[in-house]
Amino acid sequence: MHFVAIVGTNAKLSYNRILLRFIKDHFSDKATVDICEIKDIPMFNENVPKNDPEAVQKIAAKIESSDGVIIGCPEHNHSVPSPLKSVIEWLSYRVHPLNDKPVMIVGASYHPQGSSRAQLHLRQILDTPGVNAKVLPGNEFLLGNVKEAFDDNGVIKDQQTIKFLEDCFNEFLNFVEIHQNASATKKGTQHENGGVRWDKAYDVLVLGFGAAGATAARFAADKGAKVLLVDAAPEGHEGGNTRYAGQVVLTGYDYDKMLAYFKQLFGPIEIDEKVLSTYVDGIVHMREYFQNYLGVEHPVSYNKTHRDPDYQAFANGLSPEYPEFEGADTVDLTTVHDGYFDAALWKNLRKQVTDRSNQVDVWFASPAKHLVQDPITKAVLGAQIQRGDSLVNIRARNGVVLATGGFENNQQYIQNFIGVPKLKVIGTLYNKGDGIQMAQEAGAALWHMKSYEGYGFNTSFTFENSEEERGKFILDPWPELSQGSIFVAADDGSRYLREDEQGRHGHAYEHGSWHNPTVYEHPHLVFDEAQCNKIKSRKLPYPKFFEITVKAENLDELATKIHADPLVLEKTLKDFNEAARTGTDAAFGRSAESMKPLTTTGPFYATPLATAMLNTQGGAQRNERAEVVSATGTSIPHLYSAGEFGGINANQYNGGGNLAECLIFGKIAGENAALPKADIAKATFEDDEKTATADFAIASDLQPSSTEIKLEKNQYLGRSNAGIGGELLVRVTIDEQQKLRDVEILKQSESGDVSAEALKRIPQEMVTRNTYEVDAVSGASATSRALKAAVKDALSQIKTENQK
Amino acid sequence: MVKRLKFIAIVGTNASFSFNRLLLNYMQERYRDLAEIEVQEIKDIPLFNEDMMSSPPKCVLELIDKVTEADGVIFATPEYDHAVPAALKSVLEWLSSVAHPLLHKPVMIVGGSYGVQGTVRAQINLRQILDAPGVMADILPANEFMLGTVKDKLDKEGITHEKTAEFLDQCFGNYISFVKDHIMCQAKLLTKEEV
Ligand SMILES: Cc1cc2nc3c(=O)[nH]c(=O)nc-3n(C[C@H](O)[C@H](O)[C@H](O)COP(=O)(O)OP(=O)(O)OC[C@H]3O[C@@H](n4cnc5c(N)ncnc54)[C@H](O)[C@@H]3O)c2cc1C
Repeated sequence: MHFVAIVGTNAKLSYNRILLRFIKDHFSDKATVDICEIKDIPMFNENVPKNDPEAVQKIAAKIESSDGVIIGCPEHNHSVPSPLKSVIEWLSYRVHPLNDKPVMIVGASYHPQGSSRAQLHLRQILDTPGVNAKVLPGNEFLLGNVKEAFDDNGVIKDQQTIKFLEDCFNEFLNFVEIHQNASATKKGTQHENGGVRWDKAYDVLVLGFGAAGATAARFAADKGAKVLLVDAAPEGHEGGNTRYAGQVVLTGYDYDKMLAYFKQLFGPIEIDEKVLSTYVDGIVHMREYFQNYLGVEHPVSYNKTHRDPDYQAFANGLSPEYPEFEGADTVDLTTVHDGYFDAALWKNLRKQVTDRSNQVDVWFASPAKHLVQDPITKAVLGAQIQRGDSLVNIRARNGVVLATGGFENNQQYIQNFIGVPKLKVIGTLYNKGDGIQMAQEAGAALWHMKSYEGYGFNTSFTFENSEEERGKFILDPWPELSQGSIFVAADDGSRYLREDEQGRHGHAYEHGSWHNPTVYEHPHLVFDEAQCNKIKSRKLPYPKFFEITVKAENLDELATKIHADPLVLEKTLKDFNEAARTGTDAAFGRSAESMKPLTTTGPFYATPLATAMLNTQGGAQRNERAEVVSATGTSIPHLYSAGEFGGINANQYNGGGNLAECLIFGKIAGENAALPKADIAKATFEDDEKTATADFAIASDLQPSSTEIKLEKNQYLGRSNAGIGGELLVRVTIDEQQKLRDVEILKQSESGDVSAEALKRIPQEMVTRNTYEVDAVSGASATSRALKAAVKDALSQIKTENQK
Repeated sequence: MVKRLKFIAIVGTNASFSFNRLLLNYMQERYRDLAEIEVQEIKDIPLFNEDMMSSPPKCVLELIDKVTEADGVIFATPEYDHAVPAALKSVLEWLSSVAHPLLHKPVMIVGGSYGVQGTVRAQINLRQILDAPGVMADILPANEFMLGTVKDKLDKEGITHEKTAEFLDQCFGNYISFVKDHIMCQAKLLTKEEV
């Protein structure tokens, strides 16, 4: 056992510290005790921005990894000392390491009562919902008259007292052990015999409800599978990056040309031939895909409709994005209708799922946490999903599809994998790279981790504005930011790119191929008064432009304000002006007509920039069957993936390629995951027949909207929000005598066994007794109330109808 | 002439936004004819440390003086983990170690919170602390002003819920009588001693 012992005071001399040291020594054969001081932990303050102080993080980590905590608690004014209280406040604010942690309280004081009031109070505090520690009951070790209690070596003098402490400590060891066993069966998937306790079983489990997940779920259902589709985001926020996308899908007409085009795009990066040819084949059949599977009779071809240099700058640049490459003339984009950035494709894909709601259950706000793998065969058997506060084990008989998108919102992954300080996210906030961790746990190989797409003005920019969680997507041309007396300065004030570059998904031309430019920490647009007026003269595509722009009377002052080196900035300006005068930008090749010298007298302006990122491409490696490949090159049984999580796009990128990948590999992943598997016999898990149909209370979150529900003449819908799981929807059937014939529950998200009981019993009773006024099921009063209210609501419609 | 009553009203948190601060500002304004209320922030007062008692921070000494001179102290406490915030507890530790200015000082407790309980647990905790021998304040009994669902009842302009405002008036009225009685008693005690 390993315990953390907290000295509950910041004072230099503390008998509680002496007591904890005694415990550490005396019980060294039973447990290791790490004595933690709290004097470096500052006073709790809820306004501390973003991260907890380092000392708090440290102690939290120690507690997290311990088996239990011992607190030595002095008493100040009949209560817990403020330094200790402050520590607990930190530990119940952003992090909650004490949650469910066994805690033992000891205390020493000068008085005979020995901190009894403080201990009592500490128990109460540790018991609050935000802390939720498991405090050892009884065993109150109160050491009074403490000045007399220890000898010079810090050993307790009285043998009886030592004996009592031993009793208490042994009780604590037992308590911790029981607690650990209990929580292992509660949380753990593993039974003693190696089997797993499943909460519910499906044929296919799809993680992530974006384009890839929606597609996989739908095609799995079409193969006859019963599917659970989960998304981390709450309802209305699902759809990941897909909902934010331009909705254009890469398309081609000639296989050989398209293949040649892609080989140049990926360039020296080798992609498995089979994966590539599967992808290219899908792309050249994209129009049929829209017609056959998405119900779009006349898919819109971008080139046929709009190939006109003046029409729409956005898509013109993408179709093709690399016109100089061989085969580029076959590149086109397909959309479901003539419109962009309107979620039209997303809505279509979502509807494919809701149209199959009899076969696909959907859970929102339910992030997948871990895959469950057979220890011997390595087959993925299912996954642990977080549902509210609990983890539920979902069995997937035939396969699991990872479609959790990229790691756009995981700063640590961005630094580790891409190797840049930061990128500004433009799309969803829910893609945190969870799939990477799950894939790694299952032994997957990773690929294309460094690759990401950007989009923005002057190659790849948006604005840095700490008040905005998401960067603003600047799509329309904004010539004033790259034409005239204006340039982009890196951290030290020097230029590093050609401002008038037509970026290709955030890539810039460098020595023969296109790359993401270096990402600096605080680049700025730098410009003078005349340019400022030019920018002002037009409606701003980013209204907060001048709110974040800083002004300085001279260049020195500007350099200080943007943390650049004044000498470097001065030289940059001089060089730029020289380039503008001579019409040659020797360093970066900016065009002569786009450069105009800046004034040298000021005032000057600077606007903070950030690199705009649409999506990452990295994730688990997949093969042409959409199977996830293990680090040793074999495929991991029953695990599939699709979409930007581990995409094929490793290098230079043509717009529309990501959504194409979602559609193509989503279909393959869904269909293959749905195939019944022969190899599961080896796996050890409980018979899932029983669990498969159980758990009435775990239902789909999909909202059947009233228009989708069929109502006969004698049927009425009723709703109520009185339950604990949001809306409850019922369909009530009455006979000619207006007697209640049937009460069906169409939608509910109540949880727990008692609720399930109420949902079963109450409708029956209502019908038997022909009234909604029936007794509540005890322990499920909210659910009972909601049912009554919903049925009442339905019946009230009969009345109003009769009045008419 | 009767001296105007002067109270120190302590904002029981170091957070930059606090409904308890708004509550005290409201009381200051509303009862300006009855008493002078000085709203006292605690965010600059460092975490209590008994090793600093020999040379306490200047702000602590200033606070001790203010409390000593005041006719009474009003505490507005939020609730953190079912108890008073550490920041407030720390102030009370300073006020009961370096000196004991709360000794027999008439105290009124108010508090507001988002939940329906309106800081009841923190207030009980605070009463207990103020009752400890080292503090020994004279706490106004009953008159438990606990402002639950504070967001709906209090804004920058003050209490928006009429019944609540009336109850606060009543509590504050009782507090004023409590303080006046207290002063009279003190005066009598003094005369007795002098006699
Ligand atoms: C502004 C913008 C414009 C774009 N335009 C285009 C375009 O026009 N054409 C194109 O081809 N590409 C475009 N892209 C890229 C494209 O949108 C994405 O690559 C694509 O939508 C990815 O789809 P996906 O299904 O793989 O992931 P997503 O659509 O991002 O979906 C992933 C889902 O997984 C969920 N999730 C995350 N973690 C978990 C977890 N642990 N458990 C359960 N669920 C989880 C997320 O909540 C999310 O809903 C654009 C991107 C952006 C940001």
